Amino acid sequence: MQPISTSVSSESSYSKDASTCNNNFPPYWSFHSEARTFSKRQSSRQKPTPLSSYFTKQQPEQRWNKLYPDHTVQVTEQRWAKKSQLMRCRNERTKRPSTGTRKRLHIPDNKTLQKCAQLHHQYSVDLLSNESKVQTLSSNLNRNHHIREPALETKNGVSYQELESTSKDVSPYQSQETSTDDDHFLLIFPRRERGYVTIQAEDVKLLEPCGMLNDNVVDFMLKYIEMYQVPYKLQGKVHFFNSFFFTRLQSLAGHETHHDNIECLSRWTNGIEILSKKFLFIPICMHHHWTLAVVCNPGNILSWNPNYDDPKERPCILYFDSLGTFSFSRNCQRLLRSYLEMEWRKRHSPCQLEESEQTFCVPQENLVLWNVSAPQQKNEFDCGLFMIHYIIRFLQEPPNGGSFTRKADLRVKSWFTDKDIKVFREKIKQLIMDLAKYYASHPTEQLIQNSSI
Amino acid sequence: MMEGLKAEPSTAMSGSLEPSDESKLQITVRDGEGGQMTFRVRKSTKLKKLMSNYCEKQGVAYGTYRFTLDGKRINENDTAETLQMEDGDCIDAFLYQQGGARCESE
Repeated sequence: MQPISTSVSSESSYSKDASTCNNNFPPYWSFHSEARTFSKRQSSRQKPTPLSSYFTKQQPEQRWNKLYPDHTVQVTEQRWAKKSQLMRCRNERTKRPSTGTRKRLHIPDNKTLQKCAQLHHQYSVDLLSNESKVQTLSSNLNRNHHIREPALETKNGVSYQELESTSKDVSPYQSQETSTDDDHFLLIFPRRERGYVTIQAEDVKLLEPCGMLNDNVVDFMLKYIEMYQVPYKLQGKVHFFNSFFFTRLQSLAGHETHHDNIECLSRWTNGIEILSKKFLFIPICMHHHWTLAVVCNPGNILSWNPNYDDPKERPCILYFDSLGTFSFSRNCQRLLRSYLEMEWRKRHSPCQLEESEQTFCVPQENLVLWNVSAPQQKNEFDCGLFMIHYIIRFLQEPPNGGSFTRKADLRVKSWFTDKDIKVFREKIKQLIMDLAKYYASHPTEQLIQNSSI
Repeated sequence: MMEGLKAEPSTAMSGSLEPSDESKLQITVRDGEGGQMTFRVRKSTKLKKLMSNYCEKQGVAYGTYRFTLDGKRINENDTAETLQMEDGDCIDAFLYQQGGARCESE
């Protein structure tokens, strides 16, 4: 039983050991050599880089020249100039007719790429400067935080006006051509896919002690886990729903007069065989509390028989609640059952189904829900981290070796400790910073080039 | 609450371009409570415009809602064309989610 801080799986890129990094991804720690020398030099001057210096967006040239009158910045800039030149050449070469939209779908357009490069350039230069602009940062964060507040009491005209002006101030959507508006993104992940998650400075701020995680951070981590943390034997056998799936499922099921029924959720998983997976991970955010439902063996909901079949193949739902109240579990079971029934009906065309199966109902004992006794939070803000940590530990070491026959077997209290959660918070923050830094030094074009080989 | 609320922000969104354009799509934004709002969007217009317009009409700040198309997030630089949207497609709007512990007053 290893704590997460030592990162169990050998293929995980979580490890600090540079030797574990392969060419496919990205070194979690070991970036290109220049970055390493920079950070060394940085550490000799001042201990850890303050978080705030990651977010400063102003051009630091003047300050830089004063601090380091040597040529480091010029070197960086030359490198970038060369790279952007290369990029431009390549763009010209690989211009495709507009008919090939399917292929181009995942690749951002050239303008965006260059913008990203410039943006990341700014960050990477900023990373080198030790002088933090706390003033700018805090004002930025405050401003953003203000915007983030859902204006629920907008009935009175005053606050509405205020919000109006602020939102216009930040999102000048009047001007279609100006595209400097996405410079508040710190990280775009995964950047070669549609529907990427954007992490902003204020999202990272939630990872400071006592912060409550939001959907951006959770979705980023789910995506990251899906891409780089799934053990080899489970690859292709797990599916991660995003944090809005359950919200949607509940809102669809809760409104009988809704225009759509639950069947429109099948479009969320187009091209993915949900019923052939081993585990489905469903993050649930209800009443400002993150919990986790894991559906095991969803494909066997009709066929599994307790008398003949392998207990490891048993279809069931495991419900993790870091507060231990489990008050939502009944509802969760009902909703997931109706979703899986719908999926089953969708994937089996009517001609294949017998008469009795067309109006079937999953038997109660075939989709039991078990509340897992997992490590519990002792405060009011850590549930998001617990939820993500449950997923990571579940992938590494499922309760009772993956066979869920009795509730008594599902005791995983020793999965991790409070201290691990504290470290985990720091780790996620560091991961976001490092990915941002890594992407800055590896423009998208280059990655696409490499991956196509 | 917003049942049947229909918005036609086409004038605001077409800007200085010519008003009659057959490449415009009708796109519906749905929220969790069954409310709908319909927009007419040009294929090449960035969907950020639609999103900020929606937030404005709801009286909340931009960034309060997350928008998804078939479960995939819509980002500011996406357009109806890059997402291969068709006329009559629906976008789901979600209030942003944040959680730390259960709210006792539920």
